[in-house]
Amino acid sequence: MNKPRTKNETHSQPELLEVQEHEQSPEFQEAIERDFGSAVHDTGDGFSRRRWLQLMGASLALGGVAGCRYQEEKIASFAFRPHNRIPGVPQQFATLTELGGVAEPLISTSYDGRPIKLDGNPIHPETKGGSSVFSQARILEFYDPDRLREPLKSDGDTFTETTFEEFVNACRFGSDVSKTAVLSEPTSSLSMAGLKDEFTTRGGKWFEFAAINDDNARAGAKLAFGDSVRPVYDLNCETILAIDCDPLSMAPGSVANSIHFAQGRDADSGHMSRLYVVESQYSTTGSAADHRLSVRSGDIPGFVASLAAAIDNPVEPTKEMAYRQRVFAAMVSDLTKSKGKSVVMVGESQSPEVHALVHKINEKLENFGKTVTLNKVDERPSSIESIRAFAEGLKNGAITRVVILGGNPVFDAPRELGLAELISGAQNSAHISFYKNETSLACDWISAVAHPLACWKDGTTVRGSILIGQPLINPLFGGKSDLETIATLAGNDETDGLAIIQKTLPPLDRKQWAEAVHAGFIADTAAETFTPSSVNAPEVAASDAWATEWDGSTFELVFKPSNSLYDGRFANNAWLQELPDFFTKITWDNVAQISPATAKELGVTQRGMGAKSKTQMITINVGGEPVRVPIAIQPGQADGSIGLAIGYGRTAAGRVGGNRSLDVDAIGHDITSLRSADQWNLRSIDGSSINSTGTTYQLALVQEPWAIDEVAREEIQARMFRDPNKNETDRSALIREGTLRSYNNFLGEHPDVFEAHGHDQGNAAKSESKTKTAYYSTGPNGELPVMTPVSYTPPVTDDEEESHDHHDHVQWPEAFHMHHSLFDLTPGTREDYKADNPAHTNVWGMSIDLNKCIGCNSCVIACQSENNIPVVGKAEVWRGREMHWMRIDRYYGNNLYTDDAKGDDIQMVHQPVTCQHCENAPCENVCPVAATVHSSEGLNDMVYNRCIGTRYCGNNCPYKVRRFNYLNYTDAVTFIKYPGADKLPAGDLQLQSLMVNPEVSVRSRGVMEKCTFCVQRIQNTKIQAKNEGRRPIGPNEIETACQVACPTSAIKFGDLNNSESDVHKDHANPRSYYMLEELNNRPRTKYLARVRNAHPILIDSDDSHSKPKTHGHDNDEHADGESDDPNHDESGSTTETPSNGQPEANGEKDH
Amino acid sequence: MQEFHFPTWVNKFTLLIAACAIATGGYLATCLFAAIHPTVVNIGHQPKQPVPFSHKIHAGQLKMDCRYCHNTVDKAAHAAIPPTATCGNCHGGEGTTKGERAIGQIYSESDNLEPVRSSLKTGEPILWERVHDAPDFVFFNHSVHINKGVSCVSCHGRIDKMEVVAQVEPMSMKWCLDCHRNPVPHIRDPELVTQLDFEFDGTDEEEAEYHQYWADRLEVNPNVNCSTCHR
Repeated sequence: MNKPRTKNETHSQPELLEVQEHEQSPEFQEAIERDFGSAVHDTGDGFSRRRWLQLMGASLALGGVAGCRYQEEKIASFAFRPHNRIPGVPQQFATLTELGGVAEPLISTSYDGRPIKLDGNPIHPETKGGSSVFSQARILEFYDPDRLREPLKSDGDTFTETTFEEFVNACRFGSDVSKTAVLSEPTSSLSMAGLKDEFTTRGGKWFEFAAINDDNARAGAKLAFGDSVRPVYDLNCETILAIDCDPLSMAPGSVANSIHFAQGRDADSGHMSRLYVVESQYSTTGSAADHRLSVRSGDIPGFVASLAAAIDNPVEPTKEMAYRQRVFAAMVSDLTKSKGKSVVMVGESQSPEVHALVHKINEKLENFGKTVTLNKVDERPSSIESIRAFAEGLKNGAITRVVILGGNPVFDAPRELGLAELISGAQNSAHISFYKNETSLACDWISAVAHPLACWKDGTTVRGSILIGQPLINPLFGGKSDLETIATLAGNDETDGLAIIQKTLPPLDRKQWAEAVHAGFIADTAAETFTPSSVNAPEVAASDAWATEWDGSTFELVFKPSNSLYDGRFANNAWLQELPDFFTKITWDNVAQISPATAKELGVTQRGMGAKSKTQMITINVGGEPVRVPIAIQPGQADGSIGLAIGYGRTAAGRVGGNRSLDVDAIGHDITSLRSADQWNLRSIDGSSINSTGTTYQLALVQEPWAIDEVAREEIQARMFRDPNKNETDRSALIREGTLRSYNNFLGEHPDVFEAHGHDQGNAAKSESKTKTAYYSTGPNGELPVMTPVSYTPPVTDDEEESHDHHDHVQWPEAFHMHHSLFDLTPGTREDYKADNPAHTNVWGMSIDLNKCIGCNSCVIACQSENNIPVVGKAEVWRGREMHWMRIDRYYGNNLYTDDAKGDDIQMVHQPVTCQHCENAPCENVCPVAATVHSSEGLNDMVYNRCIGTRYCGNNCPYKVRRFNYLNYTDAVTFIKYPGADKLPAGDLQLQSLMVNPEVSVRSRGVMEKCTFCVQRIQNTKIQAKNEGRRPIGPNEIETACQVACPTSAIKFGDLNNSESDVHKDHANPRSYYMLEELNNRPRTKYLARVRNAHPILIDSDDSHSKPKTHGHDNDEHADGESDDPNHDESGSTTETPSNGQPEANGEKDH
Repeated sequence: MQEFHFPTWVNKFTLLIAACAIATGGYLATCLFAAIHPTVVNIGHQPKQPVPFSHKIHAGQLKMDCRYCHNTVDKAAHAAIPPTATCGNCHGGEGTTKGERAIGQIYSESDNLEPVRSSLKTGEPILWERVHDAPDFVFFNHSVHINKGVSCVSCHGRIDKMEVVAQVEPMSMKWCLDCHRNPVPHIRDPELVTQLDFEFDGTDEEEAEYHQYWADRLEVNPNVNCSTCHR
């Protein structure tokens, strides 16, 4: 989605193009070494090649002794097989997980009693099967050998194992609890609330703290309504304005939000919601925006005040307005025109006053009761107040005994409170935790808490639906649930989790209870709603700082939850550590995100491009210990705003996330000391507090800027947007997008376009009459089987007329059309494999709707979980050896539709890429051992056992979706390879192999692998259908793992041969296109073009009238305009991430 | 020190030595190939089981249906070794008698059945030795074969004649593919799949017609794609 690069632009991006100059530089040599040399020298973890050969030789010799037959296996059958249990058949149970004080309904797949996968609960009305990355990844946490086991007792410096009874004896609340305090995380569990009430009634003190909290939202609601309420939004509406918040991925209830949002973005209906985002740094919501303004979080109160004033006197936007003012006027105009059908929301970085003002705006827009519902919630002090009171109590002796329930306040609470000293100074302190973390180290006692998958628990969703979670397995390492532990400490009679829950939940009879446990939720439960009588909003000073150029002197730090680690609690989860950030594509690290202008002002750079690039470190000094953190220059970041993800730099997380006592380095940089209780989410600082250190740092990025392959980078650039002047019909665009206006025009011109598959069917019928006998044999009684018409793409025949019909397949946006159909070059591969196996009519295919994808990464983790994909560690990611079968590419550039935006309105598109299962697959032709071959149903099969590791296929794949096991990431003992894996006791190494999906082979060293379209699911469904004696398989019966996880239903999978299937319909959609179709690979995956619902006043030109002349003119203008733009360097014609840094080597931090 | 040179008469042996080396290499390679060939390695594998269970008595003489014990074979990928409780139905010994009929009392004192009784008592599984062991990268599903009319005997042989079960087929990939490419001769009425001594009563032509009839009726059309068995 980028402008074509013209020659006169190059001087503004010298480091991107002048490759030759660097050829002799050390960076370049390192890049060469990295790309070509490193595999020869070592195996990646300090293990020499010679040593490896020695060991291999020894094991071969031993293998010879063991005998000729395969290893003999024992079969341990049950003594008594449980009712309804069929060995090897997975079962599913409803459960839940809680994050940020809100529960998410899940379903867990259990294989022979071992939970192996978590998905969204498909029957819950809120999430409908979608799930977040954090929920998906908790299955890995369940098998984490670093989790606590026996209760531990502190002997000064060390901890010794003890028993639960001893722990209870020492820490029980006793009869007088007036000096006992419980510090927990906010929870939605009604049972925990019950225990809390009992405890506080007895005089105990109960505090709740979370580093990522809704303090400001709660205080704002209280200010506005005088009552404790939580706003819940229906994003399936007309106009959405998200101000510095991320309702689609980080906010509580994000899955439900994403579902609603996607429902309102169905471009094919001709109507879409319009999303405006105003934020200081990119969020996934920002990436989905139609118009986005980057505004410093500190200037947002002024913006909201301006908005509140403008709503009363809307001014129609005109072309004469400055760009930001024009977007603002368009936004106001849209909001006022869609009263009752709009949503305005604001994020946690803003003060309660701003939240109250936003409530006032929603009231003015008549949204309450329509798109904004207010749910009553229990009143509680804010997290910050709580933790202050807790610290104060410890300091003045009002609290002498402490029980900390979960969480990690020593790491993530305001550091100035000195919690570590205060807690260890208490008379008695206990931590009930998953891990022995920073907080545990300060306590006298640590008790393991059972994993949510292994105990009874309850919770409540954002919308108040009560969830019940049943245990799937006995606690793996012992331990009791948090409910049970608290009940035991309190000396309650009822200490069994199930009994506690049954006592708290609404009374249910036996049948209702069974139904609720089976479904995972109590049907028809919802929060009590609140109807505001009036909304009070305090005065917030209006200012137009948001609309003006940055003066270069005001800086701010904006703290946000990490997209991978949340608040740091997932630091020991290797899947999440290796999950690329949705925007920066950085793994295993956090950075200070700054805009190009900020970088210039601070005098910091990312030198060079690609693998040669080293990013610089900056020091941020706000008093106390200065914090050093690497920078990443990101377009779309507000000038002067520095974005920092919290949760990194853990020193007692475990063998993945860092553990000082085990000598495992911390991952990333701890920036919590920059937060203070007063300035928790946002801190303004002056420029003198930020200094360049002059040292450099390496980051592990997955979307590769090009190390030495300049041609590849330019080819990608050229494929971002075709230059009509050149009439380049030989290249297709990777990303296609256009405006809703032009799409509607298009639909008006082609009113029968969605009948296209009917039209195709006509074609198919013709070919069917010719070839019917070749496809089908008759049944035993002579009856003809029912035929599903061949209707995806008309088969290529010699018949002129039919070929012509094929060309009539209309596509949108027109600017991206291939002007001739290359599909005619090689006739009929699709026919070939059909002839091989005539009765198989299933033609598997996938479609991915770029208009719905929000880049939330759920599919990536779901795929990793389903397909036993290993984690490789930072050093290997840096070498480009990450193993994710599914990656999400993101592209960004200037606003495509108007030249006035300059760098102000960066647009982004996410593109999930997996194996495209090309019918004419380039990988298959080059494999010398036929390890990758085509199946009769069109799958590009990968046969691991044949693979000898030439990597020719990976080299020849134009989509770069093939992954090679350079090392034995997945041998039998270390399923997950991570920094501290070698420090695990031998017995624990096998623990994580319990999580392996037995339906998928575990690949070993030297083998190529890639997306299989979840062939295990295809085969199992086919077998099931055969066993039940029914054919054919239902149109949408098979769902891939990524498809199930996707909250926005962007991914569809199914049989292209079945005209009822979603994927068939998507393939006939005019927005659909093949990636790199000019290569004539005939992919089975089609992408659906992104539709941007731009406001008409903000469109100067779009593809609705794509006359080459107009475009050429535009582009000329553009090139001129852009070269004058100081921001152009980074935000102009960027394709992939030329601005991003690239790591050099593992472990080396500063030089 | 003077350099050592081989005397010239050694030269006439050079060729002989080279030929011997090649022959030895070839011989060893052939030996290795023959020794690890599935027909050599797999056929006849007959491990000793912890309980000397006789399929000859149970399936042969008593004519018990295979599915009395292997009851998941038509429902799931695994045929499933039965839980000890199934053995206990007849051999449970003390405490398992139901009513007046001593059905659990067959050979209830036998030393051979001690592992069964102790497993029932402790709940610990009996550790059976696996006889037919497909490699981990092969995903075989019993149910679809049974439901499509492939008899147990096609792969496992006459189990009803075996005192101790042994493998009779090589179970190599070629062997699988032979049948997947030409399944018809192995297809019969699914009702008769567990009848191991089934023999068609009729001429060869009639037998071929019988198999063809069932293959058509059950729509047998096996895949030979790699991903059919390897995922």
